[in-house]
Amino acid sequence: MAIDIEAERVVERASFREMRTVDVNDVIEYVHAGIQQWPTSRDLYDKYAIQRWNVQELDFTQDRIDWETKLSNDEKEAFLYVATGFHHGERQVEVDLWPEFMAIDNDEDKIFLTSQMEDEARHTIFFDRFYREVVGYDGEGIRGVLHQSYAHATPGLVGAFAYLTHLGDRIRQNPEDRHTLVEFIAAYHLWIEGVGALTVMQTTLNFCRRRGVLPGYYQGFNATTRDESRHVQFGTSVLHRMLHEDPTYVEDINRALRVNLAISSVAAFRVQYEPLGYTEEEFQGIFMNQLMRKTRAIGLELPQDILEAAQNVRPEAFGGG
Amino acid sequence: MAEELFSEAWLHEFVRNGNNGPTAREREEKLPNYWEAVAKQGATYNFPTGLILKAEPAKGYPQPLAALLPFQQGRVIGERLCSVQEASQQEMVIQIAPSVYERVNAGEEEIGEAMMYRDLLLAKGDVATFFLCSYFIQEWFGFAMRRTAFRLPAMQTA
Ligand SMILES: [Fe+2]
Ligand SMILES: [Fe+2]
Repeated sequence: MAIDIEAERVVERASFREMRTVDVNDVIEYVHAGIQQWPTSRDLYDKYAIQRWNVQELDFTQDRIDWETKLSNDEKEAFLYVATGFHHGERQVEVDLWPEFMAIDNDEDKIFLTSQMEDEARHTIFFDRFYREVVGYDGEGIRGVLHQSYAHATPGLVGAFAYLTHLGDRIRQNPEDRHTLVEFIAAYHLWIEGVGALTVMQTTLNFCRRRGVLPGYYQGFNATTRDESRHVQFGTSVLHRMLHEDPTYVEDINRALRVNLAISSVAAFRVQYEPLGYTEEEFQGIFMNQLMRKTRAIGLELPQDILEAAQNVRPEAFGGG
Repeated sequence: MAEELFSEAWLHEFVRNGNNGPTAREREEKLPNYWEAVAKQGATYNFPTGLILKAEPAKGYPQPLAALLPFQQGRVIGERLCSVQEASQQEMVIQIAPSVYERVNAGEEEIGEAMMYRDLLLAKGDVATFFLCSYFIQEWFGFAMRRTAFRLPAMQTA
């Protein structure tokens, strides 16, 4: 599915308020349309300046009412499992993005990454507010609320984000190690943001739209999805560029995919996604589509073992950042 | 009786608890496929692992302490206390602080949180190899840390 020019313009220029009504499926298509244009980091920074939003402007009053009166317990459970992947994921990437910033050696890329760090900080606060004001959690600081939502975290989520955070630590220890940097960028921008996050965004935001619930969440998370378009486009163009410089980096990308696919092929417990309006097969289809579109765009031929592993993925391990 | 962290008695109890795996009830809480994956990963995690307790004077540990955990087929066999230097030379090296152990043991921090926050830190070793075994690691260290009671050393007052 391609996006037409008019819809692309609407997504690109929509004010934060207008993100309440912009169709999330157009936003997802906008991510891919952008990849094919290979924007520079400077282009992406300039888009950030137009698209950034103020998390304080969000009003969760109606969301709280919807949560209390309109959503069934099954819907809330499914929703919490999905949202928790982001609640923890946004915090993890916000705190652990700086080793990438430190290691990347191009000024324009560094400038873009300052904007991404600010985006991820805002996304972290968005989820902190959602859990406090809508779900009703309480706790000391960001960590206190995260600790409460951890009840809906899965061991797979832990694996994916602990892997990323340890790669970041290795970059901190040795910023010259390009192979670890590529593995980190693949684990973060390609897997977590490009595949896992977009799958979850597509499913939960369509749920909100169909059910006519959680308008504050829709507005903020739809704007978050548009922010992710810049993050994914940045990551895929850096990978594309680096592969061009040194084709042996393909092994580092494949390693990141293999680890994450192994983590995602096992679920500790079943999460029922049907209340959100999706079957497991549909989830799987969306995931595969996201994976193939990104890897094809950067010119990756996935080896057979990765393609096979991708058939066994379960959504329980997905998070986003 | 609860022993001090990284004493002989504590170490053997810690390893016994990790090796024991899930209780029937814990097993029921997660899917059979998951426990199969844990076992499969455990069978590949055959690394001598150094475990280092970071110095934390406020908890009565002015110096780091260390132990050697030889993992074989999902179990530790032949554990022993060792110098920090010897632990640091192992293929995989994991570090924790006394306060982290205390929080996980008390249920105030989950083992998964400890891994995501690098409170349980793979200080040395191949990251991808380690996280290909992430379910096994989460379970083994979760059992060992939650189940093994301990006491902090009596603090010397000046
Ligand atoms: Fe992001
Ligand atoms: Fe984000």
